[in-house]
Amino acid sequence: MTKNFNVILKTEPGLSRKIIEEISQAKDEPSWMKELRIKSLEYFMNRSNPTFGVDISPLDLNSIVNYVRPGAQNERSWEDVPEDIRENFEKLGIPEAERKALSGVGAQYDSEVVYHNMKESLSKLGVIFLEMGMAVKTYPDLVKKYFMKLIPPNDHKFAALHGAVWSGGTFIYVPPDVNVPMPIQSYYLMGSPGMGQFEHTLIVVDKGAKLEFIEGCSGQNYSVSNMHAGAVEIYVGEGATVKFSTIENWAKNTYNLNTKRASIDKDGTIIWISGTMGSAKTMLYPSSILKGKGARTEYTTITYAGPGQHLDTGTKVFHFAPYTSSKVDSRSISFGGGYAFYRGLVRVSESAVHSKSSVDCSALMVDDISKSDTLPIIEVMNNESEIGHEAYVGKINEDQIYYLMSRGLNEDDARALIVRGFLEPFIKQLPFEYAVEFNRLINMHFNSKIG
Amino acid sequence: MDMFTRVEPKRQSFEVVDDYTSKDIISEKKELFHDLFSEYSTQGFPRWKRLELSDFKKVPIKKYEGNFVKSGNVQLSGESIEKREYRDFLLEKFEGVDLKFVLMALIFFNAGMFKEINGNEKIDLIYDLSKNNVLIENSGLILRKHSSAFLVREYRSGGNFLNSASKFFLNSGSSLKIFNVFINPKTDLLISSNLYDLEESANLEVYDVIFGGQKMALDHLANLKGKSSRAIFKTVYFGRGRERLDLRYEIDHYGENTYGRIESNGVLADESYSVVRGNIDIKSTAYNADSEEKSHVINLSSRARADSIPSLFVDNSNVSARHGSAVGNIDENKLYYLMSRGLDERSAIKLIISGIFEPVINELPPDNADLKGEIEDAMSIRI
Repeated sequence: MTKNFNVILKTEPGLSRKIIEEISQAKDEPSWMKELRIKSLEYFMNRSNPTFGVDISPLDLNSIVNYVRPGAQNERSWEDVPEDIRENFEKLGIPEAERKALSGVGAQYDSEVVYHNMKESLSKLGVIFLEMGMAVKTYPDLVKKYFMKLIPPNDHKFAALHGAVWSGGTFIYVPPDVNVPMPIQSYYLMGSPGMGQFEHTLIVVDKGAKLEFIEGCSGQNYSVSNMHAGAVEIYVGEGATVKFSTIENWAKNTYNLNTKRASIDKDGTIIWISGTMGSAKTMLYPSSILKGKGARTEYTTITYAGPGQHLDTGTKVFHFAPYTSSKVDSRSISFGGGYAFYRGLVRVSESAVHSKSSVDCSALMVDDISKSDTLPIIEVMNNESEIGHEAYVGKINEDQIYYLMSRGLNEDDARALIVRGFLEPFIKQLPFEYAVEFNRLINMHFNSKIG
Repeated sequence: MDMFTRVEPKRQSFEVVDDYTSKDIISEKKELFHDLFSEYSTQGFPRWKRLELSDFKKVPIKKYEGNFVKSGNVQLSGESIEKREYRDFLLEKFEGVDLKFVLMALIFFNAGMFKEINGNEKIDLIYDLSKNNVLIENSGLILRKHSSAFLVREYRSGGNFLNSASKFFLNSGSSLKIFNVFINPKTDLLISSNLYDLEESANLEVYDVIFGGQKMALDHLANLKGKSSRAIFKTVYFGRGRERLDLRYEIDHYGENTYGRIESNGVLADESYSVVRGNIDIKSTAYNADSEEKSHVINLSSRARADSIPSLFVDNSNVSARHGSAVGNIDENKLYYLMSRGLDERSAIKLIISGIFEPVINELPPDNADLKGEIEDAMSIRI
């Protein structure tokens, strides 16, 4: 368990213009940001809840504490981070991972980034990697050009909430033709009961540049519900490539109502790797807006719904330009009474001639008390595109279990092996530490000792 | 186990100043419709996004002119409803395309048939809208154990408005085959709601052939309640001009070893727009269910639009459920091949499209040769 720590600033529960102004003032923000927050609050107050997805009525938005700043400033060295917070991150293996493989690590505990570092070589290449709030102050013009332009605050109720109370997160800018040689990683951890985390990730990858970004999220269980309404905006420049991986493992009391969106210019590529396994309820549909000729998107996603979890996830692709392509491989596993829902959209506009899209979604149900649904929508508005979709929902094949058992495995091991096989395309995309961790999770759930 | 609530969009509705009143009821026994009518009058009309329904203009309902029963020993719904034993069945409401339209059909019908089938029955109905500007149908069939029926319904020609609601109850071991043909390119609004309840080992096959209606909403729901019951829906459609179709097929599996298939094939020309919704819902009791849906659209025009909304809802792990959908233009290779054999482009396209319609048309028995010809003509006109 995490030790208690001193909280230096905590706004009163609930939301009002006064609180929003307080947050903005505490952050010493430029006035345009303060105005964006106030406008967002208005939208939030006027918008109704989404009319689809998970039931969020038990969530008392007024009692979620929106802004908690732990007793730490934004430190440069790992040793300077307060010990109790550091312990939490140590358990997650973050500093070790950083030392070994990562270009930079941003770790966010509650609402403010407590630790941020980047290899000097990257700074020399002109790559900017900063805590979001710091970026607003350091590069106001650059940030203003992109901030909440892809996800406008009035997009939906929780985008509006995010716009009003966002705090922390990551800003990355990669200049033209720079290939960031190692992945950059941010880690978010929710540590206080009854709080909301609203980090904002803004990634701008200029012409011909390349970036791999890994986002990890986790939290601890409290009796009070927590909430996460983050936003990720990714701008993929002409001919640029971004690989964005997420491992989300929020505590099982968290409402995860998250928005992720990328816009892709001519010949650009976005690759989404997304694993959703935590939270009580999730609504998350990473979107790709293919707006330049030849832009591409690829998704490999898994949703892993266990006891007490209702995970409503999916992918959205908008083909707005000729010769764009999308490929979706979405898989879900439900077990122990979990409920996985895949909701997809592929929209091919009139101008997106010669586009191609293929969507595959499959769901594996492990027992009779779990549930798995799929709802993929396809809208095609021209006659020169090829769009295909396949979905499958089924059980674990008893023949396979029997075969594996005849080879000496016990039933639990056989089941775990099949589940791992089903998730293979996702797992092999993960960084090594995460893949190991993920395998461990499967073994735990299926009482298996192999792997 | 139902721990989680799935949040769904709420029904949007609009009111019209001039709705049908109890004076519009065709039946002379108006008192039979009292309860349904009070429900009808409190319901707004559904507001549809994709079909763009936001207004409804009342067209007067008149007694059906002519005889729509071409063959088969059936009673008219208007007569059957006066018999106590059939009344409840014919007045039973269901969701259909939308409750408002189903209630409308149950109350204001000017056509429709009813029959309780014992042995083996072939029924042919031809609804001619050229003489009947408004057609409101309330039909039903009850199939007794091990009986069988073949129903062919043809909806033909102009008219302003068609609204149909039909219910079919299939007792154990019975089998029902239905062939619906809509050739109503000028009709402003076509609504068809169909409900099927299947007991043990009952067998249902439904074929729809659709050419128009400026706006069409169609709904079929099969409840596979008895074990080993089976339902198959096969549809072909061809949209042109500014026609809009919204077709919904649902199979709900309750019984063990139940089997469901939904297959639709469409061709879209000009600025036509189709929405195909296939829902497979497998309840926790449906052990070993097998269900599949497929939809395929050929888009002939750069301004046509095809939406596909297939959904799988699965509560039982011991099932096999899948769906596939594809949207594309006409296969260039096929076209090239046919043209290399001496066909001009139009004939080649026609041949490919015929190939799509053929398997469904072939389900018609020889005594419906006329109808076959009509379908082929309707298809040729559209190419």
